[in-house]
Amino acid sequence: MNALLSRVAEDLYWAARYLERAEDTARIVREYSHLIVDLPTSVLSAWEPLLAVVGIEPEDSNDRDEATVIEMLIASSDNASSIVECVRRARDNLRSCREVIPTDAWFVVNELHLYVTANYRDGLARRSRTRFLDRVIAEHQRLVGILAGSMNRDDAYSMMRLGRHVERADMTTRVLDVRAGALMTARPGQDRSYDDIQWTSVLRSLSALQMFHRSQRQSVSGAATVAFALHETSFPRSVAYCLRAAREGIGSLPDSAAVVDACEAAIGALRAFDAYAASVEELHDMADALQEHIGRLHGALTMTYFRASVGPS
Amino acid sequence: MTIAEIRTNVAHWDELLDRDGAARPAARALVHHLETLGLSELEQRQDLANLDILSMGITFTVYADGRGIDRAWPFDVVPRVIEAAEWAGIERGLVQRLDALNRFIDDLYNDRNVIRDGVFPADLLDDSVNYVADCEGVRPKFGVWAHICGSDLVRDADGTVYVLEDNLRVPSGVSYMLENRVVAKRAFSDVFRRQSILPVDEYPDQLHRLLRSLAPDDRPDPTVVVLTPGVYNSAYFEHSFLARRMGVPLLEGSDLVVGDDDVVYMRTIAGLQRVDVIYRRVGDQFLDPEVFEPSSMLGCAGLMRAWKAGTVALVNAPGAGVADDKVVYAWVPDLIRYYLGEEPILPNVPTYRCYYPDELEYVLAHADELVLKPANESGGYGLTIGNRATPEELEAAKEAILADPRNWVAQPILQLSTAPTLCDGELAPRHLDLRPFILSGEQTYVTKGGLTRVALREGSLVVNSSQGGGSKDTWIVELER
Repeated sequence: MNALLSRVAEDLYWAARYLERAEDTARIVREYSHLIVDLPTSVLSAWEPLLAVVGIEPEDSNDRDEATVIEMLIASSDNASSIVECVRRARDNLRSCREVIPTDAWFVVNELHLYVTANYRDGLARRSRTRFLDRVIAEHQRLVGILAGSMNRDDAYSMMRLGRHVERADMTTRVLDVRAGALMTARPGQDRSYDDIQWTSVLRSLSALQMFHRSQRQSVSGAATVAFALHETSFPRSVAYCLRAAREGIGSLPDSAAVVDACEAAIGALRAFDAYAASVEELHDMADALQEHIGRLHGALTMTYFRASVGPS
Repeated sequence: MTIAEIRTNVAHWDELLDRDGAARPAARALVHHLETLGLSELEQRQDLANLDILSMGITFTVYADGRGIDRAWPFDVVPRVIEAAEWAGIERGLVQRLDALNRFIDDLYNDRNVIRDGVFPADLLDDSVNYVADCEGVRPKFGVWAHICGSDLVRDADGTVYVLEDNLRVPSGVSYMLENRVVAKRAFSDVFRRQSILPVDEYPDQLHRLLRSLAPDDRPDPTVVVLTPGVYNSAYFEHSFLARRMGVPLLEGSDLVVGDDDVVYMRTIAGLQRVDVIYRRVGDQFLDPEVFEPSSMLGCAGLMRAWKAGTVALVNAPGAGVADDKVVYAWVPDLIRYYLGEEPILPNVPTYRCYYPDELEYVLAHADELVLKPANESGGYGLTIGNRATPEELEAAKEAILADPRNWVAQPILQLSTAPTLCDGELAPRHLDLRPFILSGEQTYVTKGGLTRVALREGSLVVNSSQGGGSKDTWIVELER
């Protein structure tokens, strides 16, 4: 069998990241849209925290209304991470490496692209938003299922799996940083009676609530939520799970020493963190550190596989 | 019109119907089926086919405002039918023709007997834009230069099938032939079940077998790749399609590097890996900046060096295009006689060669009855159809011919055959051609049928998809004895 082309490896890795990002964003927006109508406006009315999750700095904060925020997250071409933009980029990437992925996988991405391009307005309107987001999530799940069920376990598969887990670890970390950070910061006179609902919502936006209940035998709390989303190795959206999955995938790639080191450094940093003892500052620092580790892992991948310039042997 | 209405008024040679409006034997089941379906059901099947094409991502790329735009592949749901017995003859003719062309190319770059023997005038090579002096003295495996050929066939008013041109450089369309079949099978599964329609699906395997057989020194388990100019090329879909169906990597120029050892490598995540056979869909002039266009980013510096050193096979071979310009075309019947000692099985369209003063004179005097063709344009560009051109256009074409007679030929205006085609909810006869693909190495292979292209506008003879043409599935039908 031929070794995977460097260009194709990069395209696959990024396509997987973009699509995972689209799904994760859809989950976050879906859950937040539900939460905000449940809570009194005195407790939660702002939409900007959603922008912070995907890494957009609110420049003129506070006056961003729902329509603006949702537009940025779902459809805007100014935001490289909007759902429409992620799907478009993923499709462009996969189009240039159709020979390595199953045909059905390409059909799903192509159809998803047609769907979001034609129907993104459904995502903007409250009435139809959930339906639109459900479809984005379901189509990506379908893609992952096709890859799992019909793609050779080769380097191309490893690259996509790697991209998906790196992105998911990244997103989970961001969600915790922004949402948990806000909840853990006690403000004088703040009404805390809705905290449980909000923590529940954090779990839900990671699709973690049911699995949390199954494994934790305790009611939802801040520390337990953070611990679960970071450390629970049996839960496939936790940071620990994602990093271990990434580590496994890297293990089968050629000349992977530098990438393995970067991945293990991230795992080590995560392991040293005690969610039950941590202050909000420590959680924030931990999130920053994880982001840096993920950045280094990405850098190692780029140096080792995507931009390698080896002379003829 | 319904199919029944078309049957009462057959004006041209129709591929499905004879002069009296009766279904041709091979098309009987189809015509009967079309009658039973009715227009609205047929249109529904067309809509479903269009949806299939959209969701399968079958596209081609056109250029507008300096950028490439992906368009859904235009497909007409009504197939074109040819009887297997007739096709067998066409197949033999195509193989004969490509055999002669390959011998001709090999001869030109080596011994030049064809010139010495006075069959082909030497000075025609002087300004042939596709002649590559760098290829002189090279002897590719099996003596084959044009491994993959797409020849355009047309049928005239009396039913004669002519070769209109041979594409020996980077002919495209075969992926659409294969995808058209997938879509047509869905639309007409009922007819497929009741008839013996020869399958087309073996092409990628045949191509892969050919490419592997071309590996230098018969290296075992050779690395075969497809080289594309990239996603903005009009045929990118096809490059990706063929790589996928053969299970080989699809490369862009930047994925390749030629070492000081004159060996071609590709950049992989496991370092550099040797490449043995390159099915390149990049034109000669962009293939190697060391030899051709120095600013080209589409190829890879050193490819020609490696090819001449015999470390890699380039498919088609560089320089093969010398035999597909429209001037050489006029000599093909002579070449068949010269190299094979046989009469051509498939006729050429009668062609006037402006190279010869008497033929030039005739062309200038009868320009309004002729198709005027510059030698080295493709995609239907640059040609003038005498009876449709304005007087100004005709004058301009004549001036261009006088300025450079060697580079022009002219042919009588053929009455291309038609087939019923769905246009705006109605069936109507539309002109079409056919591009079969011929593979040539140690053995030869001809596709069962080919890509039928159809001019969607009434009366139009321009079938190129870049200029608004459509396509049809092509059925080679075996009649039951």
